[in-house]
Amino acid sequence: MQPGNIHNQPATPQPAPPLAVSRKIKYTLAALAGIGLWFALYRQLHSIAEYLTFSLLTLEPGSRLGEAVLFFFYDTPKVLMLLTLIVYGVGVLRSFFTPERTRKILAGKRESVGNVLAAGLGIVTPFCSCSAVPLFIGFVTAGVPLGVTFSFLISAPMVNEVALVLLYGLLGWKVAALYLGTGLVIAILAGWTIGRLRMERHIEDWVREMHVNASDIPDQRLSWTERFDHGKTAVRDIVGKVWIYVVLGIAVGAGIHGYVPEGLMASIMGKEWWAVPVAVLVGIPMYANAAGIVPVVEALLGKGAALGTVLAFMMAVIALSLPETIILRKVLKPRLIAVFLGVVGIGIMLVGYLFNIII
Amino acid sequence: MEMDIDIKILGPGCKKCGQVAEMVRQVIEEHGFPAQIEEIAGLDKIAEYGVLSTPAVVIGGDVKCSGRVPERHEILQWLRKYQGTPE
Repeated sequence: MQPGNIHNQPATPQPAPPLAVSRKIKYTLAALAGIGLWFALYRQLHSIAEYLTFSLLTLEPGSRLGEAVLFFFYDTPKVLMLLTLIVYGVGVLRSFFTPERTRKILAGKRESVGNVLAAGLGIVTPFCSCSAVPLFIGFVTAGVPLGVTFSFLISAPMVNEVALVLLYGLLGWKVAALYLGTGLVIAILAGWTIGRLRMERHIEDWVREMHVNASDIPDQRLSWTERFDHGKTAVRDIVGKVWIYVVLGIAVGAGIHGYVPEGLMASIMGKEWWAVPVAVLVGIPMYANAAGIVPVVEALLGKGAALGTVLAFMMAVIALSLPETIILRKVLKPRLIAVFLGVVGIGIMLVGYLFNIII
Repeated sequence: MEMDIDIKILGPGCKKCGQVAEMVRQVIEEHGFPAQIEEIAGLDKIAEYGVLSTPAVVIGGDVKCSGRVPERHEILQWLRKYQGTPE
């Protein structure tokens, strides 16, 4: 046994291990510098786009090609930068939430409170549409009411950060906030309505007869480094997958911006009473990436389409998709699927009408 | 006689699930673990394990992780722990 040091009194208090502290300082400085650079670049984007379009490519300001190209050069880096920042932030935020924790929070909650919680949690809980079925089964068998589960399943894909970022970047914070607010309201009310309809019998029988081992999945204690890694992975996965659609969508938007005459959209996607239902019905079987569709939405709005009609179209495309319906058919009987599509579809239509009226 | 470690990878077939299966295979080969990997894609079977998100890794009947792609060193850790060898 070594002669102990316990009798030695250090003359000065022990300093913290120098490596850990200086590393934290380095990371913090790097992060601040990164954010600073990001902002500096962001504010220069329009001037850079103008330079590229009018000086480098010597296009005419005001010409169709000129305006289209300017739109493209400005919006593409702007949206990609916003996307990277927000996806990173949300990735870190999501590391605090797991479906298992969400399930624990929601199990056994009363319907109205549960619907609100579920819709909110749908935004921050990581959700992959391929997990929709295991998640549905897991929730329902753990005692989360059917309507509450639906609130979660509606809000999760619809109120997604990519859509919100793009709406904010291309249309401003008001439209983004509107989308967020109405998306949540639809998720809450549609889920609540479905719950009231007492359609538990319309869950496929094998689901209700299932024996689920409520397995004790180890709850991760993540360090901050791991959380930041989560953000980085999210950027790599999401932006890596989505950037091409963003660029394509902006290109389409640029084309519409430069070449479609003003007011044409007002006739196709205007405020007539039939415009909203048609937009929703056309949107339901379509499935597009949020990333690709928002730039198109922006261009449509810029050409005179009515906000309510366009929002309704966008929500119908994102929230209700044929692939998701096919997947859900494994656990839901046809009537329940029809009710799901119907209730959400009507909710979206109501939102569309509302905005056409008040804006 | 030593029994093979029973490993199941749960996932309906999206890209991440394939990634996880490949990773586990590599770790097993590199370190010579005797193991049987089964990839389960049937949603009903997946739900029986109580997992809420895929891909998920089950070793010896215990769910080790779900909803993400684990790190190699985690997979190694789980396998070693299962065998009872020091991590």
